Formats: sequence, C-alpha cells, structure tokens
Amino acid sequence: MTFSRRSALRALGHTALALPFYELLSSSRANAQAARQAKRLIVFYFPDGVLGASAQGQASRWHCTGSETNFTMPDQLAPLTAWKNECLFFRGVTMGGTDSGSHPGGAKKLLTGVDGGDGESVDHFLSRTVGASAPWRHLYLGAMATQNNASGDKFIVYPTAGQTIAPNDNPRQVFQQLFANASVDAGTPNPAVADPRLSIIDNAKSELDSLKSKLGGSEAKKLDLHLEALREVERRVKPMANTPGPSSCASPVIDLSGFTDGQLYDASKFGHILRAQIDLMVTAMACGLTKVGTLQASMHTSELILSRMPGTEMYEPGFDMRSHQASHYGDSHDFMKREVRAYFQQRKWFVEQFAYLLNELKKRPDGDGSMLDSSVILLCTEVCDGNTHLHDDMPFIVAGRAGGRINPGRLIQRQNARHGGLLAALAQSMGAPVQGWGQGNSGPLAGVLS
Amino acid sequence: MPIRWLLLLSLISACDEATSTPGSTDDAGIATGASLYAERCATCHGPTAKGSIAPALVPLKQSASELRARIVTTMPPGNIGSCDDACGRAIVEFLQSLPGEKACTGAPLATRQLRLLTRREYTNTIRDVFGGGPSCGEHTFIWRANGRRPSSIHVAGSFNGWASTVAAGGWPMASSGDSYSLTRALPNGVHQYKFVIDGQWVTDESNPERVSDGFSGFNSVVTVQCGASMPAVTLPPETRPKGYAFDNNAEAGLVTSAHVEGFFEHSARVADQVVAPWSASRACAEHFVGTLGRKLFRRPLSTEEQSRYANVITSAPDFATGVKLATRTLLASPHFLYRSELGVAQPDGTYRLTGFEVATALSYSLWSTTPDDTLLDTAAQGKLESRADVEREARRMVADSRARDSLKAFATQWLGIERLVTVDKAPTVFPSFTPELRASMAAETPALFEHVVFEGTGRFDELLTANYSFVDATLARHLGTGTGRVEVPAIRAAGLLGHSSVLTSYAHSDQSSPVKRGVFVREHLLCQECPTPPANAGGVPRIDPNATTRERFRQHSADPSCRACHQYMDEVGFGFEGFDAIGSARSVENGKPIDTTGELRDVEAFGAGTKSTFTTLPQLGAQLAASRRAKACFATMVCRATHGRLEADACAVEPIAEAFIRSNGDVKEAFVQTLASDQFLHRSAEVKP
Repeated sequence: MTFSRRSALRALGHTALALPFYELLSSSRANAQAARQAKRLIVFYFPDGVLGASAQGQASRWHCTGSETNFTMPDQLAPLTAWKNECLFFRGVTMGGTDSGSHPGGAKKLLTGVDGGDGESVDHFLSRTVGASAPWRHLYLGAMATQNNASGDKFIVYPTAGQTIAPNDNPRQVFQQLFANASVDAGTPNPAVADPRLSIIDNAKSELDSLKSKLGGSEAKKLDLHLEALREVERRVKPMANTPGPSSCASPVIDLSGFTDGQLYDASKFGHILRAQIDLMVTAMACGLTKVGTLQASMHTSELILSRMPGTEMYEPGFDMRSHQASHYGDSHDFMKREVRAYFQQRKWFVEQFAYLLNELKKRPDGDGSMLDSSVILLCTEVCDGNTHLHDDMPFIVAGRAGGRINPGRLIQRQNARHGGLLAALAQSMGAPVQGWGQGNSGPLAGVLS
Repeated sequence: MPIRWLLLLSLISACDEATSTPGSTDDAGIATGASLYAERCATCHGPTAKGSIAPALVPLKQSASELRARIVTTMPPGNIGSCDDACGRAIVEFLQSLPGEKACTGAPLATRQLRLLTRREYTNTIRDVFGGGPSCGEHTFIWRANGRRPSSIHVAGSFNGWASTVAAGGWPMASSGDSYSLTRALPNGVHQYKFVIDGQWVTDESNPERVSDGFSGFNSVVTVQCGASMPAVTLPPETRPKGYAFDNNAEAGLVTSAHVEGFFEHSARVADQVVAPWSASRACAEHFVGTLGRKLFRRPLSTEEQSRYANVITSAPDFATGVKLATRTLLASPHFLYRSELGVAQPDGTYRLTGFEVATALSYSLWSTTPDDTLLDTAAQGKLESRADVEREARRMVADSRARDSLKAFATQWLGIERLVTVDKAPTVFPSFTPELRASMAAETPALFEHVVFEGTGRFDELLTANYSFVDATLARHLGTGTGRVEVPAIRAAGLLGHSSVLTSYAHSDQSSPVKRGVFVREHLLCQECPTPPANAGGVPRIDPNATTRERFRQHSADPSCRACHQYMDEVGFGFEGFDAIGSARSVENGKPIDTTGELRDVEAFGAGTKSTFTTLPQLGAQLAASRRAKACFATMVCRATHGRLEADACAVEPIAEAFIRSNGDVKEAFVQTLASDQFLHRSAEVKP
C-alpha cells in the first residue's frame, strides 16, 4: 500500500492549522432537524482521580456547590471557567462498590457499569450501533496508555465482557491509518477493477460464518467481533456514494512535530502526544470518519512523571512526581505538602487538556452551531478522591449540547445515583435505543437529558 | 501516616446500595455473609476462602461457634471489634456454604479454543512461508516406482548442467519403499529438471508445473524463492489479562478493524512478492492453492476449499493477478489467522486435537512459527496421535536450534522484562541509561536462559544461582566487567535475580523499590498473587537524603496493618537493595551501609507459617531455587505460555508440575510435559459461556 507523500509531509509540518475545507458528515439542515441528538461521543479519561473530599473531611476541590443553575466551581476546575455554561457537573453519582480493588475495579466498571468489567463498555456499544455507519466505528487513542506492557485491566474499552482492547498510542500511526491509507489499495492500479478486498472480505466472512456455526460461547463471540471488524473495513473499501468520504479530508494538518517516534514514552513529551491525539480525534470527527471516540491519557495507578513536562506549573526538573504517587497525597488538603500541590496541579492540567478539546470542537462550525453543540463529551477517571479511593460522588463532567438533548450549564445533584444511569443518558443522547445501562440496568440519570 | 484501610472498606460498604442488613434466614444470611466476607476478609483469605496471603478457611477446621468467636475477637487485624457477633455469624454461615478445598482428582480438560496469531507468530509465519525459513530452498524430488526396479536413477536439470550420468554430476535418488527420492537445497530461481531412469529422460509426473523441453516433451519446473525480506506488519499490541504474562492469551486475542487493516495492507505487499507458477492451467492453480494453503492453514485443504481458492485464480483477469489475489484471500482466512484447537468429537463426549492441530501447537509453542513440511507430513502419517508420539516429537523439537529464539522470548515474557523498552528513568539521576543500555540489559537474561537450557545443566535452579552471565560491550561498561561470558561479582551471583533487566524493570524512575522487587519474586517466581493495595495504603515513602531506602520503608513493618501484606514483599525485596534503580551495585546509600538481609516467609504457600532468613541475594536465590513452589510456578508459567490461558485451577497444572519436579527441574521437560499432557490433547465439550 502506498503512503501519501503529501500527507506524510504535512503531518510532519510545524504549524497546526484547521482543515482548509472540511466537511461535516451530516451538515445538511435536513439532517440537523431530523432528530435532537448528539452526532458524536467523546470519552476523555485521565488516571487516578481528583482532589476530592479529604479523609479528614475537607470539602472537595473538584465538586461544584450551589443550586442547579447557580453554583460555583472550585479552583481545580479553573481551566473550565469559560466553559461553565457548556458543561454539566454532578454530585452524588456513585459507581458503588467494586470487586477488584480501587483503581482496577474502578477502571473496569467505568464504562461498562458492571463489576469486574463483566460487560460491554458503552463507547463500544455505541460504536457498533449508532456509530456503525461511520467509516471508523470507534477511535480509541491513547497517550502513554500502553507503557511498560500494561496489563489489560489498565484499559477502559470492553468489546465484550471481561476483555479489553488496547488504545493506539502512536499519533503518527493513527494519522497514517486515518488519512494516508484510506481507500488506497496497491493491488488495484486500475480503478475500473473492483477492489479485490471486497472478494477477500466475502470469503473470510463466509468462512467465519461456517466456523461460528460449530461453536458457541466465547469462541463464537470472538468470531462475531471479527465479522464486525470485517464489515467495518468493507464499508471503508466500498465507494461511499452518499457520504462525503475521506476524500474531503485528503490532506489534514496535524501538528506531530513535538515528539519523535522514539519519544512516545518520554514523559516530557506527554503533553504534545496528548494534544496530537486530541487533534486527530477532532479532525477525524470533523471529517465524518467516526462518531465515537475514546481518549485515554495514561492509565490507572499511573507512573507517568508529570513533573517532567516543561512549561507547566508541575515542572520540577530533578524530582520525579508520578501521578499515582501524588494521588496518595495524605489525609488532608495541606498545600504545604508537595504531593498535595502536585496532585492539584496535575488534575488541573488534565482539566486544561479537556478545555482544549472543547475549544477545538467549538472552533469548528456544524450546522447552525459548532461541533461542540452537536457532540456529547464525558470527562472521567476511575476513582473519586485519589487518596480515599472511594467510588461515590464520581467526578464526572459532561460537555456539549448533544444536538439539543442536553441543556448544559447546570449542576445535577442526586444521592447515590448509579453511574450506569449517566452512561444510559449519554447513550440515549446519541439516539441509541437503550432503557438503561450497567448493573441493575439503571435508567437514564434524571436531569441530564431534556 | 496512619493506615486505616480496613475502616475504609467499611466506609465503602456504606455507599454500596447492594449492601443489606444482617438477617437471620439462611439464604439471606449467606448473602449477607458473602458480602461481609468480600469486604472484610477476601483481600487476605482469597475470594473463595481458599487462602491468599492469609490461610485457607475451608474446609472449616473449627466449630461454627469457635470460628465466630475468633472472627469477632481477633479479626480483622488492625481493626478488631469492627465485626460484631451478627457479622461473625453471617460470615461463618457463608463459609459453611462454600465447597471445601478438595484434593486434585485429575486435571480438568481445557476447553476448545481458537488462538489468534500474535504479532510475533504472524511475522515468523510469513517469514517462513514466503521468505523461506531455515530449510527454505530444500526441495524433495520423488519418483513413484509402482513396482518398477530401475538399476540407475538420478535427477538432472538446469541446476547441475543436465548431467546425463551420476559420474557427470547427476544427483542420485535413493530408494525408500516403493519410491525414489532426493532432498537437496536449491538456489533461488526457476529451475527445470527431468529424472534420468536407466538412461531414459522422464518428466516428473507428480509435478504439474512443466514447460516444453523443445523435443515435444516436458521439463518439470521448481521455483525457489528464499531470503526475500518481508515487509513489517503494523498490528495493535496484544492485550494481556492481569496476571497473565504472555502475549498469546487466547481469550484476549480479538480481531479489531485495526487488525483487519494491518493484515490486508501487509498481505497485499507479501502477495506482490509471490512468483506465479510457470503454467496457467487449472491443475496448476489447484496445485498452487493446495500447496500454499496447506502451509497457511497448517492442514490439507478440503476438496471444496481447494476448488474455491483455485477459482479465485482462474476467474481473475490473468493468472499472475489471480495468484496474488488467492494468496491475499488465504492470508485473510480465519483458518490462517487462528490456530485451531477445536479437535474432533470422541465417543466419550470429549474432543481430541487432530494430528495437524498438535503439529501446530508444537510448532508455535516451541519454534514460534508455523509447522514446517516435515512436521505436517508427520501429522499426515498419523504419527502425532498418541501421548508417546507427542512426547517424542516435542523432545526432538525443543532440542532443535529453532527452539532457541522461542524459549528466549518465553523467558523475557515470563519475567516481564519487555518493559525495559519503555520504562522511565530520571535522566538527571541516571544519565547513562541510554536506549543502547536498555537493549543490552534486555539481551542478558535470555542469553543466560539459552545457555542454561541448551549448553548448561538444563536445570531451572541454575537460573537462580548462576555465578556467571553474558554481557555485551555496552552492558560491560555499565557493570564494570569484561565482555562475553563473565564471572559476576559475588553480590550478583544469583542468576537472573542479579540481572540489570530485572533490577531495572522492578524499580522506580529515581529509586529502587523493595516492594516491586518483592512482588516480582512472589508473582513471577512463586505464582503467589499479591492482593491489590488497599485504598489509603500510603504512597511510596518520600526520598530522604539522610536515610536508606530500607529505613524509609520501615513503616511497612512497624504498622501491623501494613505488615500483614508487606512482610511478603518488602522482606524479600530488601535482598535486592545492593542495587539501585538501574541495577548498579552499591554498598552504601546516602552515606549509610546497605543492609540486604531479609526473610522469605511462606515460600510454599501463603499462611503456611514457614520462614527462612538470608543475608545476601545469592542466598535468597538459593532458597528460591530449592523450593518446590518455585519449580511448580515455573511449570505453571510454561503451561500458560503453551496453553494460551490461565489454568482453570491449581489441579490443572499439578501433574505437569509433578513431572517437572521429578525431572529435577529440566526446563525442556516442562515444555514437553505441558504439550503432551492429556488435558491439552483432549478438550472438554463445554465452551466457555
């Protein structure tokens, strides 16, 4: 397969520009009026919780206080000040107990809503239902999320009960897959000849079907996932007459200049890598390449040394402050303590990256508004306070107007409401016909959708 | 820092909607007990009370009232009194409802499964099928005699100047049964040949590839293409379930669209290098897909398959295009991408792996690649049926030089030192930790493993006691030794325990870690799973310029609630304190002498109450090497790596561990025994739900 030289060169370029002529998958007015629902979901995950209520009872530095429409945001959320009216904030949403330790148990339950990750994650479910018509059903992008041969319990996407898949940590590889390889096939120099991949896929599908008919349980499920993957690639290969395919995004510019391939696990480059993955996610969505995306920054119990990043307030050369280490900050919010300060700064930095994502979405028009208006975005982490490790009062934030289904700028306060209900609401905002989600099949969390 | 995690666990329960209040009816009592047990006891006693870092509780050894009293008055350590009488009663009810630990009555059969090729297996397979392997270019000429007895027969062709006699350079064929054959390595290229039988020039009837000889007859054709460099494949990394060290877990091997793209992109480039057969006949098409298909599916194609794939060729615009398309279609087939361990149904309701499935398992387990023609022939001849057959073949293969790379990769994954590629070290503290040094460290451990298995005693204990190692120039500079095989300083004379790979992998970025190193020993060498740290276990003690690491970790042994778990980790990890975070030896830290004494508690089983002490790392290595548990664990690791799954329970590996111990820890024998085990060759009818 050939690699588009032009794309490659632009990928290495030093300037980050918006796409010159991007088109949106459903930008027509007719589509926009068809249904009040989100066109796309982005999950943004960061590790090791937030500076919540301390063991000694000091108030959370994350959770908002006040009434539904008149509330204040604590300082950890400072980067979101300008985005207050674009976000939903929560109190009293719980993940309940988890069966397998605070961090891993939380990561397993985060998007599945089920203890032990014993269910499909909501992003994967949406990718194969309402997102199945997009060329890529799901983009799962990581920043240092597979470092040190991370075990499967570090990942948050569950295609099937108990099994995770790994995110792609390499922005250059993602760029190439999305924009350089798309619809190119070295085996067919003559465009008049049908793409040979179609007959190859047909053959593989029929063999999978006959193999599957002899099996049950997890083995048949394995082949089902393989079949779904083939169908997805088949859609990409087939000429897409009615959709503006990747051709309209033939040469996007993504800033990949901040790191080399040898620096994908260099902590000082983490910020550049995460930004590149955010840019790729937003660009892919702007081009209509996918409707469901998951961004995973590092992994739970993270050994990522955030103090290595120059140009941030966390920067402390010569001192290694890891994310997980900082999260065990102690029993009180004693800002004289280095871990408390570092933890606070780190969380704030992750919020800043989230704000960057929101801004990138806001910059891109979609229909009468922006991509932020037509999207729904979930900010999440696997525990609440990093020191107490509790899973109640989870620090979720939802952004975007979900095509009108969500009226943001509110603080939703509940008592011990299961987080499966929030996931159900997000799924419904995408137009998925689900009644509930997770353990106990919790119905949509009251107040999220309008 | 006060550690109050037990209290915290009860706080969590208060938030859990599922928690109910203690009741007295049986089922409700058991459910309540189960919930209380899970919250308060399971961390130490294991989820099913079969023991973890605290002893097994089932089968019950005390009366219900004795046990209840013991719980209420002594449990949990650090928070006695938090479980009142009702709580104790409910927990006892739950324990009474559990099945007791029973003695193994035989290993449970594994389930049938499909195993997606790993990136390594896929790459090696493509290399060996298309780029040739070690035996690439070897061609076997066969002439079927059908009762004829020629007095002379040889091969003559473009490769030996069409020699008309053996004396002129013809290659004589040897009689075997009712045929004559010759195996010879041929150079790359397209070769033509004939058999010369009693002076007559005869076309090879078994080879459909032929061209005109210019004398109204035919020359047979053989094409050899070896050493072609294969393009690299881009595939997502394998996911490994927690606690499973290898890249080949069958359940986690799932195909995503990124896999499909990777396979397609790669197979198009591989197919471009395939040389089309000489003649464009239907017979030739069937021969091509039959031959390539057998290599790729690791079994003969069915008649239907052969016809279907031949159709791909014959319905293409031209033969060369058809051959490339058929190659790509074969490479996208699930019969290629998954190793089949489905077996065939037996009268007793179980399934038995076919000879070809056995050949496949042997080859990927021992050679990390697809079975070669010889092995497939052995399967075809029905010589991989009995346990004795499999043992014989496994012994032959594990001793072959092709097993070296495979066993080296096993060692690297078993010990979890692949992380050397990405592990973070503070550049300000360790400026010498360069990419070259990472690579050199990563090479030392498999080199020792290879030496012990293939040149040394072959025994497991040597891996933990060797007083020598193999270092390259970069590592020699780091260690201050010579290069090649070197005697290591006494402090390091503990086999792989003294390797920089292990010491660097299990440390922080800026400091050593007795916890990580202790957990490494427990989990990788003893197969003793350490519990997940409780919420509110403190972080790593801060670096203190006036204290040793050992002193900083003192809290872990001083606080009883820390000590419950950390005695198993830190007390072992202290033995490694003579080495810093990149494995450099040290005798002082922050001006204070290093103390490497420690305790190895409960080496055979958590909660057994045994204890031995050591003062040096080599002593720790010797104690581990002498334990039954370390050998059983090694056999368990081999079992996981070859079977592609976590064992169903301890009984599943017991016979293999026994055989390994009986062999005095013969590493090769561990591989042989896992592959020849009944539980591997036979599968249960049930499929995992």
